[in-house]
Amino acid sequence: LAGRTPERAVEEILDVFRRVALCITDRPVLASGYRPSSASHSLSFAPRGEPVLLASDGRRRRIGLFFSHLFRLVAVGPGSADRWRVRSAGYVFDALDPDGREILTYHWHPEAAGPDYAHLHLSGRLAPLDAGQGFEPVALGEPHLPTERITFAAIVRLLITEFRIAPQRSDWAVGLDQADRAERRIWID
Amino acid sequence: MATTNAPELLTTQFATPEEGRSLFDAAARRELGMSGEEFIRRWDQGEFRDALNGPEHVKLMRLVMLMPFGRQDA
Repeated sequence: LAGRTPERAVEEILDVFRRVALCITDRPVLASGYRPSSASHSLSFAPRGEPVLLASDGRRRRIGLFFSHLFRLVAVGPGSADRWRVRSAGYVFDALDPDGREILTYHWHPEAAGPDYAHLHLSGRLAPLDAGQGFEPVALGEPHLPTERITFAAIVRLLITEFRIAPQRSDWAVGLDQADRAERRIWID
Repeated sequence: MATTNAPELLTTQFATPEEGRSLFDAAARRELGMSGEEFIRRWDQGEFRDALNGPEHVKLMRLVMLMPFGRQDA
């Protein structure tokens, strides 16, 4: 995604993330800034970056969603009318129970400690699996399970289709498909 | 299923430095019970590197991702 100014480039990606969020919540998405810098900027839910609590139809299930997405602004060559692009630099997507305990956590944080590949953490509350008599049990909550890079749109689709979170828009499926494609355009390296 | 396709709230929202620091301060207090300023100071001193591989990993990563809000200059 690109723009003639840094501000416009960030507005483009903010618009995509907002459209995704609007499929499940009215909570706005906020950016930490748009000035080009060697440091990353961040997106998260306004006003305090806290998880948004979502409900299924009939409110029989509640899931908290935390997200934050890091990005940088990159100057494009002089031949382009759009001079600034947003480049993805990391993300965290957490599905939480109503008490804030992790259910699933999708991470990609190549600039922080730990693995630089995208990965999934299962809940640390899962009981270790019996791996056979005389062998150590397997703790499913500990490993970094490798994944492809995942989009915010894919996470929201997961919440709607698999966790039965009630969508706020009847055209959520089309909107999330479009947003998924737009998000992938900021995965330039 | 009660759904609508309007209205769309797509006004631009960039955090001011004050709003950014307030967001990060609230997050640091929520996750680790300390101020945002204290977290950034201790993070910059390398204090949490080992904890990134421990049980606080998920909470720490949330704060690492939100840190650009807390680092905004006035």
